Amino acid sequence: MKFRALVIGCAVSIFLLYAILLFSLLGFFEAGNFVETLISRRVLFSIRLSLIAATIATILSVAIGLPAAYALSRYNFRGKQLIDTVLEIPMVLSPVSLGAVILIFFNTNLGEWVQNNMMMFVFEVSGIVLAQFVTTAGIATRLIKTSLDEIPLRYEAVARSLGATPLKVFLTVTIPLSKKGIIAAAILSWAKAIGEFGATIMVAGSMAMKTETIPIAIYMRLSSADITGTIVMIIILLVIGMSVLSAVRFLGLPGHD
Amino acid sequence: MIELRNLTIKAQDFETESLSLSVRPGEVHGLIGPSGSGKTLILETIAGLHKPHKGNILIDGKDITLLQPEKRAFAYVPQDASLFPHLSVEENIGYGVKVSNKGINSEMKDYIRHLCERLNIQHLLERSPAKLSGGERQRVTLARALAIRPRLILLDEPMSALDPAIKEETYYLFKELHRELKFTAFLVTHDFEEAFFLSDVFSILIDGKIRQTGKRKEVLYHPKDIRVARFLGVTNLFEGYVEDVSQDYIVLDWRDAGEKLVVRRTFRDRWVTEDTDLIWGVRPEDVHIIKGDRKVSGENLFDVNLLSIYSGKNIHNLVSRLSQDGAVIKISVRDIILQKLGIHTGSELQIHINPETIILLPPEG
Repeated sequence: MKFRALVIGCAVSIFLLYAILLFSLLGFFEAGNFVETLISRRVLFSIRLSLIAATIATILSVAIGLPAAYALSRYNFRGKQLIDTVLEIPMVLSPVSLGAVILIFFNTNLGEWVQNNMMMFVFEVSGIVLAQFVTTAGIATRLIKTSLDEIPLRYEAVARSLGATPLKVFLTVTIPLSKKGIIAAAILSWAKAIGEFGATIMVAGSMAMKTETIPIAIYMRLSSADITGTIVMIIILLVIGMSVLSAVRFLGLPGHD
Repeated sequence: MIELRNLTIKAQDFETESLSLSVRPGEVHGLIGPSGSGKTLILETIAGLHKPHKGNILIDGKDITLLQPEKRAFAYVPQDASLFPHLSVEENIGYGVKVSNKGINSEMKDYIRHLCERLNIQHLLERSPAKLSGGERQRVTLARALAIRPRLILLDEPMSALDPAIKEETYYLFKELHRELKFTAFLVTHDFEEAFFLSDVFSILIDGKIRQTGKRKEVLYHPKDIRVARFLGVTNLFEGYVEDVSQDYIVLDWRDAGEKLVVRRTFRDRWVTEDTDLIWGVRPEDVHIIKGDRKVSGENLFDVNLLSIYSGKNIHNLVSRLSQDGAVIKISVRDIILQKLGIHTGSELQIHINPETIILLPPEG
């Protein structure tokens, strides 16, 4: 009984920790200013920019993460272990460090060539997408690989024996069977991308009405002592994040029971 | 004809010896071996899912060892059916035709409809595989494999997971379908019943080596060596000395018993010569108990003492001893026979070993 009380006590204290922190926002909450700030051009811009950038970054992460995860899950090749380890970099390295690495890269000859001949990233919207992509690609690949690992190989073996090429097996058997896992990976990557701050501010900077995503807006408003504006942005981020995670639970997707 | 020619397969902690066998068109070839003998690996190699270390796989003399699995037209049926859970029964059956871009023409539709009728699954077409019973799943899997009109069906213990009653029903269905369509199949299993029910030709795989290939009677009554004999249920094995060899019979001196034994000689026993040692064996089910208290005289009749009875569902396994310190002989009798005989532990019995059922084997080593 003592043990039961102890572990439930721990669960309740975690809840209280976050509840108290969020409750403290109410002390600075002003309903009139809240609505006015919420519908302001600058806030709407931040929301739109965050949604678009996170969506593009997620699409890119899944687009490259899915085949990469398949390769890591199904084939043995030289360097597989190294690639598998590198996927952990976004988890091991803080987002700020990751942003710094990207910024340093653009100061190398290759980075400069990319910026001059392909696309500008530093202090641009594309830089936001790049920063979010770099922070989510590894995680998306890891999550999709876990989902692919759970599919018994015999389904693919049977499909090939029935005449399907490896590509057809991938499209008609592997993807449909791991659909839930792929969607879950995409949603969680998107949630991470939309809340991404460290790498984004390093690469894209904090320019109002240009590279001001929701997390950057929170930072900028707090820096200028605009508490109401900060709270509005925090609530927006909270609502978006919680909605996404609720959607994962509602769809019964793996990883979030 | 499908041929394995000197095929060697290596896996992480397993390696087969050089394997050679052939499967004739319209034949069901059963590869029987104990669990862990590499049967599934061999099947996957034939399917093209695993690369052999050495040797070749040929179809009508053409080497297909390195051909992609999807180009072989070998339909693989794994142990647990493996119907695609995201597709309906109908979509599962049509999968092979659909992905191979052959297109489902009216002839193909008729053929698939016929398959479904013969396998009695036409009422299941809209269902999800998750809602099928074990027997239904196995029938749908068979339809899916046959739908592509494969050159060869590769069956991995296809009915081992089914309930006994369903299993027997599915055996009959398989045999009927085989008689009609005359498809070629290669079956691997550890289950004798499954192998002997479904196959025409048998290969015995022990420790990664095919020890013997032959038809039913040949494999059952003329195993090549002691390991094959033991594996096929010849649990009564004794040392013997060949005293006399005539046109139709061989007379042995049963070393452990000091008795004479007459064996029916067949052309497969030509290797047996007079004044040599050998091993002889008999299956427990081929040892017969003489009914009644009066002793009978004649050849291959022996007096034994019943040591113990181990009862199964329909079969009783009896352990008997020839004399005080003599050879131990195992006997299998059906339930009804045991009841009629009215015997019990300690009973004195007379047994008969039919000369036709005695198996002769070369001595070990």
